[in-house]
Amino acid sequence: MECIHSLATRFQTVTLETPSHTPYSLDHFPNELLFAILSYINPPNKLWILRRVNKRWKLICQRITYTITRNYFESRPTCIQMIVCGIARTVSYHDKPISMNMKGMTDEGRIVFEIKTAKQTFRLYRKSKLALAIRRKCYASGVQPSSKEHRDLLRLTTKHSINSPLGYVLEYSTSDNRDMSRTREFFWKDVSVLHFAATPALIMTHSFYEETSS
Amino acid sequence: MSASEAKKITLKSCDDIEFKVDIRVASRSILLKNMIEDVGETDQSIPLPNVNERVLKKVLEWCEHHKDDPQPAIEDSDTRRRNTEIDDWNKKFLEVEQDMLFEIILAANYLDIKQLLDIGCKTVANMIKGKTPEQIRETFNIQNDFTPEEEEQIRKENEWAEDR
Repeated sequence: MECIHSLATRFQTVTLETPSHTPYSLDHFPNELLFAILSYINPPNKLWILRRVNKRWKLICQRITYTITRNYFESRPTCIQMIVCGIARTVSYHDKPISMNMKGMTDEGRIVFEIKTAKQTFRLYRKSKLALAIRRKCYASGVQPSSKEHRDLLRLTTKHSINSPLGYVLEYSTSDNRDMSRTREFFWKDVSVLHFAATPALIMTHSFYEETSS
Repeated sequence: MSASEAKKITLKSCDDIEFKVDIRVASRSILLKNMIEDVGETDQSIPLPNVNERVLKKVLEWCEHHKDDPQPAIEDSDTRRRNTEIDDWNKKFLEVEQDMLFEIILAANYLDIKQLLDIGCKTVANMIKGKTPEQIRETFNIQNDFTPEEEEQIRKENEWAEDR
C-alpha cells in the first residue's frame, strides 16, 4: 500500500514538472494562421523559396499563389495580354530567354498562350468573350477551329502580331478604348502590379498545365 | 450598481485568474463583443479556456491601448497584404519572446481581434523575410518532412526564381 502511495506521489511530481506544452513551433499553428502569416511575404516570388521549408508550407504557398493570381484575373478580366507581358518582363528580369506565342484556342473558347523559358514551358489559359465570338464566327463560316484560317481571323480581329515578343501589348486596344496613349498609361500603371502578380501567375499556369495535360 | 461598474465584465483565464475589464476594452474582441450582446451584462465571469493569465494580461494591455480605435474596415486583401509596416507602439508591444508572440497570435485568433492578429502575423512574416528554408526551420522549430530526393526536386523547380 505504501509502495502504491509512493508511486502515486512520484507520478504526481513528474506530472507537475512536465511542461504543459511542447516547444513553440509554427508547426502547431492551424493552416489558416500560417496562410495569413505567409500572405504577408513580399514580394510573392519569395513564396518559391518558402515552398522548400516542408510539405505543409509548400501546399500553403501554392494556395496563396493561386489566390493572388485568381484575384488578379478576376478583377481584370480583359487584361490577359498585359499579364502575359508582365510574365515576360518578370522572366526576362531574371535573365532568362523567353519566347511567347499565342497558340490558339481550346474548344471551350480559352485563349492559350505558351511561354517558353530556357527550362520550362508554360501555358496560360483564359476564357475570353472575344475568343468565343471568333469561335462562333468560325463555326458559322465553316472554318475549322485551330486551322490557319482561324488563326488568321484571330490575328486580324485582335490586331496582334502572334509571334511578337515583349511589348506587343502596347499595341493592344480593347473595343471600348481605342485611345492608344491611354492604353499605354494603363499598361504602365499595371506593370507594377504585374511585377507583383506575374511570378505567381507562372506558378499557377504551370500547375494548370500539369493538371490539364495529365 | 453604479454606471461605471455596469460597464465592466469579468474575464477568467484558463488558469483561473480573473480580470475585471471595461466593456469597451473587452469589445475589441469580436468574440467577447458578440457574447456580451447576446448574454447582456452579467456579474458572472466569462471563462476563456484557451488563454492563460500571462497572455490575457498582454492582450488586454493591447485592447486598453486601442479601445478608442475605430473597428477595422473590410480591406481589400491585396492592399492589406502589401502593407507590412507596423507602427512604433505595436512594434514595441510585440517585442516579446517568441513563445509569447505565438501565444498572442493564437489568442487574438481565438478572441477574434483582427488588428492584433494582423500585426502578429506581420511580425512573424517580417521574421521570416530574408531567411533561408534551413534558417526558418531552425528559428520556428519546424520539422522538415521532405525526403532528400523531394528536397532536391523542389530545389531544382525553384532554382530559376532565386536571387543570384
